[in-house]
Amino acid sequence: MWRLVVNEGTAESNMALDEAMLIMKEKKTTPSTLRLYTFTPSAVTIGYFQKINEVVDLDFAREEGIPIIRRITGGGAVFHDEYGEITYSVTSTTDYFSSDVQESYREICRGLVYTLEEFGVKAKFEPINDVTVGGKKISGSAQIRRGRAILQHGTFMYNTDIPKLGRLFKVPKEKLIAHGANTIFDRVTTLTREVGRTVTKEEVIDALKRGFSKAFNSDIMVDRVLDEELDLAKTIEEKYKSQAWNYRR
Amino acid sequence: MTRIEASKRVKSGKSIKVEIEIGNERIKDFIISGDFFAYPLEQFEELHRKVLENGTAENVTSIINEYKNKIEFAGVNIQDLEDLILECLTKYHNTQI
Repeated sequence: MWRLVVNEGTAESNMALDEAMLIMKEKKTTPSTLRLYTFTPSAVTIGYFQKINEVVDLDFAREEGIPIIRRITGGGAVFHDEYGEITYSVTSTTDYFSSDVQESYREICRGLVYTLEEFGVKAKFEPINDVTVGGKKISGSAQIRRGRAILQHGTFMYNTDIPKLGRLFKVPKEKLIAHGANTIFDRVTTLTREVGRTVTKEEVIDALKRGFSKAFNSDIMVDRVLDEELDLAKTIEEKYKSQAWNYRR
Repeated sequence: MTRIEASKRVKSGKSIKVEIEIGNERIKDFIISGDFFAYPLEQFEELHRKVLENGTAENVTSIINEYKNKIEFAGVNIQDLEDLILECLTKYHNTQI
């Protein structure tokens, strides 16, 4: 039986809670968990190895009041639009998922593919870490492991403000070309664009629950975050608020 | 002190960049950045620390080699990292002529 947690929070608290859940999972004291959350306010997270000033337009982010936080997971920069994106995180172990990292990305992202099927949208997993619709990216994921514990989190863009996303990130032309795109609009899409109507957050959360339940072949029951997880997250949160962490590269 | 950098974007679309600062043949600063993945993080950080503590223009590639089987990259690979370091070292040696 999997646990489902649905919540919202600041960028710092969200990243801290994901990390706390990974640490607790490594100690094997918690159930495997699917967490669905939003960032309030909207925020940017960058990959662990990225140089913040090379990937984000810092001036524009500041003007828009969009905080920028470094993740513990690799990969690229992500715009978590408060009104158009739900972030998922899966905390589990290699008991459930392949010890092969690439294969485990596929297994977990299957939940997103099934979610999109709920809306009649045909999607596919594209290695290393993307889910695409018609060649356009609708979700990106990133994973970290500690021992046998796995944390994979990623985006689900149901109605992301793509023009704002395009302004936030310094995407080199070569990166777009590598994916057969000329502009950001050729490279990314949202569920709202694909179904031709405004999809609500509530619909998406329901569909994500069903999609991941199917992918994991397990019931997923709503439950709360444990006090120990919250306490640990509180201590970790300070890291995500620090210049030393966010600007370490 | 000489600061050299080299970068590449691979077929997958992921990128990796290496920046090395060398003074008196010793590595004073060493940054690997990009939108790739590397596991486990602890081994990656250990590699980084070793290069900063003991790295020279002569031994840096052999330090990287020690970690060939300890770090799994995704999006790029350790050969990409080696190639960029060699590119940096070539540029460095060209500045010493």
